[in-house]
Amino acid sequence: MAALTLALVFVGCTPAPESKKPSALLERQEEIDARSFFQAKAIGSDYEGDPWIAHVKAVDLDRDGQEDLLVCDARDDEVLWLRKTDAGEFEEIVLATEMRAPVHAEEADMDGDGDLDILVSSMSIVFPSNEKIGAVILLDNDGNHQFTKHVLLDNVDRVVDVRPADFNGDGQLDLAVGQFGYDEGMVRWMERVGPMEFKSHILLNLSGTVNVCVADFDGNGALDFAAFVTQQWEEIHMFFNDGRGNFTARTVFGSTNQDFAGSGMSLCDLNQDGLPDLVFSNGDGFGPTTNPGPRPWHGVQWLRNKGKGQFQFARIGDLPGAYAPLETDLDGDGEMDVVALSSFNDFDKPDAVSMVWFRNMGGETFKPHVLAYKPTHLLTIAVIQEEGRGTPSLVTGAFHGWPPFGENSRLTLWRPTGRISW
Amino acid sequence: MASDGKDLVVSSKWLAGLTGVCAGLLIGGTGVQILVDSKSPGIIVEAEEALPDRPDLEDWPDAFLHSVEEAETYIRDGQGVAFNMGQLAGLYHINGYYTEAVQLYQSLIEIDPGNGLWRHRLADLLAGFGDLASAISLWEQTISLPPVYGPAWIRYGEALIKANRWEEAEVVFKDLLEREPENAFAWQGLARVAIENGADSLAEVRLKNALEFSGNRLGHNLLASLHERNGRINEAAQLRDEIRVISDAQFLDDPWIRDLYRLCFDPFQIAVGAGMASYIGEEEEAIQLLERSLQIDPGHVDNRYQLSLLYMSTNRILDARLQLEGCIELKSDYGDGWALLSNLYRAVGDDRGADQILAEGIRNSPASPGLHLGQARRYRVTGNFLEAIESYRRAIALHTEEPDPFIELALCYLELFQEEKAIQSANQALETDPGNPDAISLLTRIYINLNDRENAARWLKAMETGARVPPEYTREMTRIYREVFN
Repeated sequence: MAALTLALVFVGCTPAPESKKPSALLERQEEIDARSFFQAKAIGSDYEGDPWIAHVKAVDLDRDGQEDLLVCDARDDEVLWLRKTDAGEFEEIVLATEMRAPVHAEEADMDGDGDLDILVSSMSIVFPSNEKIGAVILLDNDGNHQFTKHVLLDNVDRVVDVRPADFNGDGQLDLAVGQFGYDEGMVRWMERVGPMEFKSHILLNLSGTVNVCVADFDGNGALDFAAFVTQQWEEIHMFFNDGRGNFTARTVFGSTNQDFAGSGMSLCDLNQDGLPDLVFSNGDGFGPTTNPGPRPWHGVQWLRNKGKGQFQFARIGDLPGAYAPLETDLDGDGEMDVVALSSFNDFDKPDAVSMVWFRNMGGETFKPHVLAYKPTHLLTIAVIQEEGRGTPSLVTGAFHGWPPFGENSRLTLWRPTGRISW
Repeated sequence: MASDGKDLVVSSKWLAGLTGVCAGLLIGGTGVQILVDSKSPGIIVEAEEALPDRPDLEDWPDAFLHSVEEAETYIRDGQGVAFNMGQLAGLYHINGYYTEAVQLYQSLIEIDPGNGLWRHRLADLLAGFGDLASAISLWEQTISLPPVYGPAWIRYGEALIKANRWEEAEVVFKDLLEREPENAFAWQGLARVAIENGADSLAEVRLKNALEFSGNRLGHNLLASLHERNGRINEAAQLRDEIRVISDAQFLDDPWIRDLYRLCFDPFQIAVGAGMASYIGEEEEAIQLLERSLQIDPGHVDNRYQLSLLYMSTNRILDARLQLEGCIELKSDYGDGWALLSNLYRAVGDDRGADQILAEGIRNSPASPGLHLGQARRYRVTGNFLEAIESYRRAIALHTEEPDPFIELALCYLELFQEEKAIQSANQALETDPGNPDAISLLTRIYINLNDRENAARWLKAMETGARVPPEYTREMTRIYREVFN
C-alpha cells in the first residue's frame, strides 16, 4: 500500500476511489509442479500427423453405467464414440463421417424415444472464413447406436456450439445456438415447431461466439442461456428467459481489450451456493503477428452469480494461451477446482505449460498447479469418473493448428496416481 | 464527473509548498507534459515508499533490469519523479507486471492529477482484464481532463455499452463526434446503441458513416447483418462483395498505449505491438519496434521474418534480403524464409537467383509447403506442367488448407487436356474454401469447354449467386456460355 501512503501524505485528503485493489489482478503466484498427480495414457485409434480434435465430452451414451466419450475430429470430419469397455479400456467407434468440421457435440434425447441422440455443431472450415457454411446436425440414434443424420440448420455463419433445452415450456427440446462466423456471426434460439422442425429467433448479431451455456441464472424457474462473444467484442451476453421463450438480453461481462482473446466458457458452481456461475478463459493466441502466441493478460476467471441475474467478476489465475476451463473437484477435498489448458503457449520453450489445475484453496482463492508441459496444443478437456477411483480422471484432445509440433497427441487419458504431495 | 477541479487545487497547493524546481518533461511521442519534480527530502522519502517491490527480473534481458534500476534511482533522488515513475509504470505495464504498474499508476494519479495519461493507461490495463467498474470510473475522469484524447472517449463509451449503460454511452460518443466528426469508432459505437434501441434506420446511417470514415474497415459486418436481419439479402451480399476482406482486426489507434511498446523487452509482445502499428498504417513505427526486438533477441527468427515483410512493403528490398538471409542462417529449415527470399529475388528480376534459392530451400526444408508451391509455380510458368503437377501435389500433401494450389493444379491439368482431374482439383479447392470465386469460375469454364450444358448452367448459377464472385467474372462467363450454347 505504498502508493496509497504516498497519496495521503501528498494530498492530505481522502483517498481516490481507484486506490481499491482492482479485482482483475492477483498477487503473483508461484506455480506448483503437480505433474505426478496424473499418469498420461494415449487412448483411441493410432494416428499419423497432426490431429485436430476439437471437442471431447463425457457421456454415458449406451447407458451402461460407465462414462464414455464423444469426440469431434475436425480434420477427418468425424464424430467418434469412445466406448468404455468392461475391461476399463476405450474402444473407438466412428459414429458419423462427412460431418463438415465438427467442433462440438452434445447428447440429448431429441425425439423422446428413450435413447441419446447427438447434436453436432459444424463449422465446415475451422480457419477463418466468412462463408455461410455452418450447420447444426442431429445424429438420430435408432436405439442400437446406429445414427442417422438430420440437418437442422444449414448455410449459416459457422456454428460452434448448440445446447438443447426447453425454453418455452412446451415439453419439447429447443436449441440455443452459438455461431462464431467470422466477420459476421450470431446467437439464436431455435424453437421446436415439429418433430424435426425448428423456427429460428435471432437474439444477437455479433461475430465470435465460442460457447453457449444453459441454466436458470436468475432463479425464476426458466432456463436462460449465456453466450461468450469474442472477436472484436469480447462480451458475455446473458439471455434471461421469462419461461415462454421471451428473452431479455444483458451483458454481464466485457473487456475493451480487442486482443482479450476469449476462448472458452463453461457452467460451474465454484462457491457451491447452488447458483450457476460461469468460468471462462481468454487465450486465443492469434493476433497481429505472423504467429500466434501468449499474452500477459491471458488466463481464467469466473462470474460469481450473486442471484437475481447479477454477476461479479473475479480472476482465478494467469495462463498464457488459456482454453477450455472446466470445474471439477480434482483432489476430492470437497472444494470445486478448475482445470484449464494452454493451446497457444510458447511451445518452443520447454517450461511452457499445457495443462493447469487451479486448486481451490478456500475463500474463493485458487493456486495454480502445473499438470503437464506436454503433450502440447491441448484444446479440449473432459472430466470422467471411472469406477473404482476416488477422484476423477481427465481426457484431453489436441488440436495441432499451428507449429511448433513435435509433442503431439490425439486423445489422452489422465488417471490420478494418488500422489498428492509435492 | 470526477473531482478533477479539486484535484488540481490540491495539487497546486502541494506544488506551491515544494522547495524544489518544477521541470517540464515530455514523454516520447505522446506530448504529455509532466510538471512535477522535486529534490525535497520529504518527497524523496515518500516517493521511495511509493516504489513497488522489484519483482524477480532474472530471466529478462539485462536492459530491462537496467531501465528499472535507472528509473528507481531517479525517483529516489527526486529527479523527474513523475516522469520516472511513469517510465517505471510503463516498463512494468507493457512487460506484464501489472500489480506493480497499478500501484505506480495510482500514485501518479495522485501526484499528477491533471494528466489524463495515467488514468487512461490504468483504465486500459484494468479493462483489458474485464474490470469494467474500475475502468469506467477512471475513463470518466480522463475525458474531463485536457487534451481531448479521442481513444479514451471511445474506450469509455465502449465500456459503458458493455456495462449496459447505453444512454450514457450514446452521450459520450455524441460528445466526441462534436469534436471529431469523422471518428469511425464513435459512429460504430452509436450504431450499436441504435441497434440496441431497435432503431435500425438510424443504425444504418451511423454504420455507413463508420464505413466511410474508416476506409471500409469498420462497421461493414454490423451493416451486412443489419441488412440481412431486415430481409435485404441482396444489399447484404453486395456489401460483402464490395468489402471482400477478412478483417477481424479492427484495432483502435491509441498512441498513449502504443507508445508503451518502446519500453517492452519481450520480443513476441513487441511483435504484437508492431503488428498493431502496421495495421493502423504506422509502418515505420512497426519497423522500429521489430528492429528493437532484434536488438534484444537477434535470434528471433519469426520477428526477423515479420520485419522482412515490412521492409518489402516499404520497398526496402536490400534490408528485406538481409533479414531473410539472417532467418535462414539462424534456422536453415525455415521454409517461409527461403520462399520469401526466392520471391524477393524474382520480384527484382533475378530469376536464376530465385531458382537457386528455391532449390537450396527445398534441400534444407523438404517439408515446406510454401517452397514446393513456389517450385510448382515456377514449373508452371515455364511450361513444365508434369513437373508442376508433381510439385503441386507435394505442396498440397504437406498443407491442404488453402484453395489456390488446387486451382493452379487444375489449370495444369487443363494444359494437359486432363479435364476430369481438373474438375476434381477445382472441387477440392471448394472443399477448402466453399464459395471460392476462382474455383467456381473455373468449373463453369471447364464444363462450357466440355460442352456439358447442364453442369455449365449449374456452375454459372453458382457464379450468379456466389457472394464473392466479381460481377465482371459472371458477365464474361455468361457471354461465353451464350456463345457456346445458344
